[in-house]
Amino acid sequence: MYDTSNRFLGNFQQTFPLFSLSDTRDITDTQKETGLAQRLRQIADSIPNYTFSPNGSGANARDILKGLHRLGYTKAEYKNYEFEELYRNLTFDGFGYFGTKQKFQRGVLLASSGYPSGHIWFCDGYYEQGYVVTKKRFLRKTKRWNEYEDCLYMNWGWGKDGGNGWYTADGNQWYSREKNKSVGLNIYSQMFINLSTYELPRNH
Amino acid sequence: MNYRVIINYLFLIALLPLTSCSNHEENYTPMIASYMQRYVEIKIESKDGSLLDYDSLLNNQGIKAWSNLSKSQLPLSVTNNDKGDRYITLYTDTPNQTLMSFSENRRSGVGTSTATLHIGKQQFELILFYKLMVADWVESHSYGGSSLFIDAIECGGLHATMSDDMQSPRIILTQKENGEFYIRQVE
Repeated sequence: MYDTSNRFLGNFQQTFPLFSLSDTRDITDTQKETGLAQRLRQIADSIPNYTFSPNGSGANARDILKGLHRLGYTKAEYKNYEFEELYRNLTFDGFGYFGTKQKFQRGVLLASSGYPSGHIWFCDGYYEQGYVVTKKRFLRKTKRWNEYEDCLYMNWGWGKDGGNGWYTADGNQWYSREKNKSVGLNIYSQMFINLSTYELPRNH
Repeated sequence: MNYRVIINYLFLIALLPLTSCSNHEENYTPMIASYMQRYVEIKIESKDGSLLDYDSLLNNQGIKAWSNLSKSQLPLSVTNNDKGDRYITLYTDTPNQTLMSFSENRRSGVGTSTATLHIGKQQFELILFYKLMVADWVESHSYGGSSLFIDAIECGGLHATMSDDMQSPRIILTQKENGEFYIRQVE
């Protein structure tokens, strides 16, 4: 809910609960009950059957979708991961403040119910990595062509040095472009899309 | 080419994959969970009992950490905790998923991770005993509900067990008269 206004449709709509950049200062102290903690609890309370326990909190996909609808993401949908659909949700055309056409970027929630219990995280970046491939025969270049790879920015929610960064899908793993590491979370990946449409909930 | 040469040739070809297997190393697939506590606090005291200048230590690469699992350098940073204590935070690798031991119902598991801490020319081996706990309510299509945390730590012959999954282990290194460091406390 970092910036979910409907600006691409030409109108501005604040979210409820509302978050701002200054909330980041509350992240450093997880022991105190801060305004940020209360608003995060509000989100958790919007998700039916959201469970808290000493071994972590969470919910299932159907209930998370209900929670997103309650929170104002009225067109949110839940689908199996598919890159083209994800890309269309990350970047799309719309209208700016003065009615001019411009590109908009919005994040997508990705989730995995794979082993041991799954996780849900945020994907909010894309770039295309280009390579020039050269084929040589007896030290002479015989062929040269370009190859491209899609890279996604993942925010895993595991805190500082928790592996946030650029990843490519390599087999059934998310493979880090910066570090020689993979995150085995895309075996059963799903995505929550259409998070760009937001309507202020009536009962806020 | 007679038969004996052909047989010898085939024998050598058959032997090749067997010998190449001996260099094969286990791939590292980090164990993950929805909540993870994987850092260690490091306090370094000088001879007079004051804290070392962590920033210059890090900037001059006077302290480094290496993971034998991911074969890479581990991140270190300077942090102040809520009590105002200043320490170096080491982010350890989680155990290799393929080497974890799980309970029969797969609701819990244990695994180890190691790290080598280099301070100047000295090095200290750290063994991190990780524990995985999966909540009772977790079903096959749940997102979340699992935690992976450092349950115990061993370093320099000292051992400490954590009281809960929120506690981070702490190592206190103290400088001796000759300038070398020793592990004074692990908690």
